[in-house]
Amino acid sequence: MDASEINLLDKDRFAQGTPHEWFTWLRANAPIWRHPEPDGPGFWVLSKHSYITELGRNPQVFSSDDLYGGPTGLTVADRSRMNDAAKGARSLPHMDPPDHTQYRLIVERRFRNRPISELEDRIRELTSELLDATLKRGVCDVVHDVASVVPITIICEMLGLPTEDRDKVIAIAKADFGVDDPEILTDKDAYVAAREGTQSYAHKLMALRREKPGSDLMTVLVQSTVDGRPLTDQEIALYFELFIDAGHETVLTALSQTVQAFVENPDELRRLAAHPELATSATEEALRWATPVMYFRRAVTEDIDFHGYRFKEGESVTMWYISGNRDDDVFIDPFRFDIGRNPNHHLTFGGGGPHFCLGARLARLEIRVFLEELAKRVGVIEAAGDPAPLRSNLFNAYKRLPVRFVPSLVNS
Amino acid sequence: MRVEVNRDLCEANGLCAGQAPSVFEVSDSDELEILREHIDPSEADVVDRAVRVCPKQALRVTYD
Repeated sequence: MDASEINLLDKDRFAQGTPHEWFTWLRANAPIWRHPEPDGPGFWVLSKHSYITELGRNPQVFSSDDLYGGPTGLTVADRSRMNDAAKGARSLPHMDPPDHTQYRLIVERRFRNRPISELEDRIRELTSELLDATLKRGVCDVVHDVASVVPITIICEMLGLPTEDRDKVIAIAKADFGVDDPEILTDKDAYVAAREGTQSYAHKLMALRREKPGSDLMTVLVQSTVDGRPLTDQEIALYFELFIDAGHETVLTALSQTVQAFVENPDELRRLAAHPELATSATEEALRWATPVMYFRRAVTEDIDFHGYRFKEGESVTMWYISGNRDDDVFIDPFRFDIGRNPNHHLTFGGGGPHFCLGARLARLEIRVFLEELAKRVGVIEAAGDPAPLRSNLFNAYKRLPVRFVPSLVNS
Repeated sequence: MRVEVNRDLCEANGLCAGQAPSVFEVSDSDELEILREHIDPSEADVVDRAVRVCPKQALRVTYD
C-alpha cells in the first residue's frame, strides 16, 4: 500500500472496524505525516509512541485551547461543530496551563487513590449483580446490557444525580458519542440539541445542590471559586458534561473491546480464571488493546522543528494513541492480546502532560473488578451476531456487540 | 542535588515512588512525600528516571 490509500477522514472506513493497517504502514514509512484535508489546511499525524509522548508533554508549544481549535476534530468543520456547542466556556481538556492547572485543582482530589479505592465494594456489588443477571439471560448486547451499566452508575453517584434522573442523562450522553454516526445522530442540529440537553440538565442539578448541598462532585463545583469568583453556570455545565462522557463512554468502550478480545482469544479468559492474580496486568492490556480515544489534537503556537519536520504556527498535530499502542518499538508482538503483558507503557491515558487522564484510577478499578468477576463466572464468550463498530474516527467503540456468555464449569 | 515537587501539578500518582522508593512515598492521605531533601549523587539516575516518569511533569531536580 502507499499513503494515497490512507484517509483518516473516511468515517465509513472506521464503521468497518479500526484501520490498523494504515497505522502500521505509517509507523514504518511515515511516522510524521501531513494528512490532506479537502477545503482545509490538513493536519500532521504522529503514529509513533515516542513522538506522541514528546508532543503531549510540551503544552507550552502545543496547545489544547479552543482558541486554537481545541483537542478534538481533524478538520476545521469538525472542530467548529464541537466548539459551538460549548457556548463560549471551556472544559478541562480544552484549556492550557496556567488556567488548566487552576480548573483541574478544583476537582482532582476526588480522583486520587483513597476516594477512588473507597468505591471498590460498590463497584464489585454492581458488577456481580450485573454479570449474574447477564449469565441468566445468555445472549446480550455487551454495549447496552453490560459495559455501560457500572461506569454510568458510578459516575452518576459521584456527581450526586438523583436515581430517577439517571436514564434520561444516559440517553442524552450517548448522543454525544454518536456525533458522526447517522444511526445515533442524524445531523449537526441533533448533536447541538443533545449537548444542550445535557447542559440544561446540569443547570437543574446545580440549583438543587446550591439549595441542598451534599458530599458529591456537583456540590464541590457549585461551592468552588477560581480567581476569587464562583464558577459560572456554563463552566459547571461543561464539567458535568465532561464527567458524564469521559466517565462513561471510555470505560464502556474498554469493556466492550475486552469482551470482543476474549471472543477472539478464548484462551486468555481461561488463563485469567486460572490466574486471578493477572487481573492487574490484564487491566493494562485491556486499556492498551481498546484505546477508547484514538487521538487527541494539539495546535502549534509557534514555529518549531520536530524530528526533521517544520511545524508552523497555527497548524494541527494529531497524536494517534491507537497507533502508539501497537508500536513494536515499545510492545513485543503488539497485535497479540496478552493479559500477562509486562511492562505495558500504553498511551491510553495520554503519554503524560497536564491532560493525563484525570479518571485513570477509576477506569483501572472498574476494569479490574469487571475482569475479576467475569473470570469467576464466565468460561467462554461466543459471538452471537456481527459486531457493529461506531462510525467515528475519534472513539474506538462498538455501538452493538451481541455475544453469549457461557458459565464456567466451576460455577454451573 | 535536590528534588522539588510542584504541588499544583502533583496528583499523587506514585510512579516516582515506584522508581525511587527511598526518596518518594505516597502517604495514606494521598500526599506525595519527599523523604530526603538532599539526593546522594549515587541516586541521581534513579531520581532522574522518577522525574521523567511523572505523568503530570510535577517533579524537578535542582542543583545547589
